[in-house]
Amino acid sequence: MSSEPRIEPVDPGDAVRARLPELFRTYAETRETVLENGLVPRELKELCARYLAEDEEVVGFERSDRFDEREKAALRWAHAVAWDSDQADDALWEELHTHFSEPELVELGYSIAFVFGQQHWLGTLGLGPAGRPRPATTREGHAQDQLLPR
Amino acid sequence: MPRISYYPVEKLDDAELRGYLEHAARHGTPRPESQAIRAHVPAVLRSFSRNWKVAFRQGVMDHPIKELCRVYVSKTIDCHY
Repeated sequence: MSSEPRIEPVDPGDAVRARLPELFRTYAETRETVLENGLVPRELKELCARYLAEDEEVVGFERSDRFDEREKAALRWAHAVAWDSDQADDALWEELHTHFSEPELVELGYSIAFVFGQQHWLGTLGLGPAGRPRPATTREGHAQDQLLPR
Repeated sequence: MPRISYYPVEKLDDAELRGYLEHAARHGTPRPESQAIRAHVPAVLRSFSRNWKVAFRQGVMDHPIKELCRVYVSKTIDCHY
């Protein structure tokens, strides 16, 4: 029998959020209405979450033919939102407006910013991007992981 | 010109959402321009505004501490928010 403490089925990140029920409620609503559902396919928001978590299968997207131009535009924006807003220049915005409607851009941008903040907050708690205990082997398991924060 | 247009407040039928934009216009915070952009997607405007209210304006932590952190983050990323 493992000595590791288990609190499943409650996700560790949610177990922390539950300390403040009202905030947990708004978080859960965001997850349901913006991250998991909405105008932009969930898979694309998940892809951006993987990039923000520095998933090795996604970080080299510029040199990869696994991603189409729409996905690459979203990933370039994720990079700009998270690490360098100067990269959101005229060229990137033209590209974004080519591939996405304004409501889609609002939802995608909000998702990127929200997930980025949650991932970093969870990191300071010693939890991985998906709210699970941070694996000892850093990022190797993240490709199969569910990286929208939980 | 913003990179994403401002959604016209008069087109918002939902009283809660309209209230968020009017509150921002009246108090200047959250920034009315960014709220008008979020208004393109009701779920986004609702999420941000509810989180802002519950985590920032209200809650259990002293507001001045949260405001201090907000200013720190804004300054470190050169945000005029």
